Amino acid sequence: MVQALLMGLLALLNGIQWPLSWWLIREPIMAGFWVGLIYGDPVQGVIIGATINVAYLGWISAGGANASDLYWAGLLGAFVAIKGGMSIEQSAAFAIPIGLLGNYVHVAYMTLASFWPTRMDKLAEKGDWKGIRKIQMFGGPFIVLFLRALPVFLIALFGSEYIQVIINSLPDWAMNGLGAVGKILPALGMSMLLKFMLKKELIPFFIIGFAIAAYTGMTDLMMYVIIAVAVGLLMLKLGFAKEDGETDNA
Amino acid sequence: MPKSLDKKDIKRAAVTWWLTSHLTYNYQRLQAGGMTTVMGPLLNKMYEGDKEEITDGLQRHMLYFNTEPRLGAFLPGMVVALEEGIANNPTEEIDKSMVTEIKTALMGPLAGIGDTVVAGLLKPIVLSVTLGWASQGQIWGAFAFGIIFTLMDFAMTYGMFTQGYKLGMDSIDRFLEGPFIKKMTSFLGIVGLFCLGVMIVKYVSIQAVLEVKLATTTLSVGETLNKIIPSFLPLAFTFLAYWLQLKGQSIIRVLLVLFAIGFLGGAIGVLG
Repeated sequence: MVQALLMGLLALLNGIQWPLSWWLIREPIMAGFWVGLIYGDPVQGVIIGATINVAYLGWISAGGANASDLYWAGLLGAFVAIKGGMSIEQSAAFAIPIGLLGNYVHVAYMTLASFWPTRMDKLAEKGDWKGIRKIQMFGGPFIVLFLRALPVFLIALFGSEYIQVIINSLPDWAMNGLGAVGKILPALGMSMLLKFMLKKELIPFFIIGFAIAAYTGMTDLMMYVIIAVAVGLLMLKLGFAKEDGETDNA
Repeated sequence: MPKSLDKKDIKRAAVTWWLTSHLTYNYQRLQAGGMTTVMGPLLNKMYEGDKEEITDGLQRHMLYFNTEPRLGAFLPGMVVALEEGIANNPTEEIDKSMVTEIKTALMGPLAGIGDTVVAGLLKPIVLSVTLGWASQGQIWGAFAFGIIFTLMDFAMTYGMFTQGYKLGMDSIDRFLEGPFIKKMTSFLGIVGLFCLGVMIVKYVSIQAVLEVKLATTTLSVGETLNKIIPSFLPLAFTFLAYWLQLKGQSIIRVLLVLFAIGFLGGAIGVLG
């Protein structure tokens, strides 16, 4: 009961749309930690959260549109993985479908919250700026309470026992399939980043990074960031930024 | 005579924008409520409680507004400067609808720059470095991301908002088209693509596990592939997903394709 209440509270904080929640609670790496903390294994929670986060690495949502909901993928994904005693790879394979479901919640939220501006219009007519501020601060979280916190509380309260049973009843081939899904899905996030950032003149840098990592097997990213920053500074020095057919008079 | 805003008002407005811009984010007006929340106390101060002017100002800002909240904070900052200018030069000639026109014209380009730099480059890089630590079970790796990115988020938002206010109207063109933005996106593009190549090797861990029994020995397809190009499958699946998106497939459909390939491949023992 206490754990279910804490999960509900976590889901409320998780769903509130402000930077303090986005990076410290919503991001699956952190959501995994908090869920793990509630169920007594924060280390496992962080590992699971990081694995789920890898599958979302590179997901870009613009204008509030998204295909899979980061909020629930991290929170309920970690919950199912911890309660179901899943292997690390399988946790991502479960988190993504949960995220797909969660996306309907996100759409419902954005739709319900669309009533608030109409209320604000009425207050604006009266010059009531304090009233508008109050709605802006509490209107969204109020909807989150019913749309995200309450369902998570109920799932945590009644669902815990069944998750383990369901997962144990899955046959080996299904578990192998889900394990492979967890390993292939990060390719999607990477492809979204590629689509977003790839420009012809940047291809060589992609090839260099890939080749060094693939052939040496060294994947400590901090090292590559340092190298990349040095390369980037060097390229700027060589006038790389002006390379789209513009004359340089500066 | 309307009052001017002081430094404290601007600082408070920047923090208000940082904390509240998305709190009641919705399909109808997106960040309009956030923008109006920022303007409310400022209008009240500038017009010293003149109801008509305040009402007019609130209604002006309740119109549709949406930009990237961090680097795009430049725009709300600039709008505050503009509103202050209007309040202190109340001539008939200034058409207040110019505020809306400027917001509408600039919110798109600023969102584009902001999304590229923040969501496309900074977040994946910070995240991918810290994920490496966290996936080894280091709790501080998770907090390193949470805390560092919250601080970066604040620094960017606060900095851009106050810069937007300070530079006001004159400098927005210089900012958007000048060499600074170009250099920054080029630089971050190099760092981003370089790291993306590494991230595919590090995080897409799908391998071929199929073994073919030959007369004398068993041939591991995965090992053979790895000898030719290590991480060939991760690269191939990333480009498959990229290609599908270029073909106009929705993200959900690409997701389902990858899910199906992974699940079937894993179930029959080809991928793992």
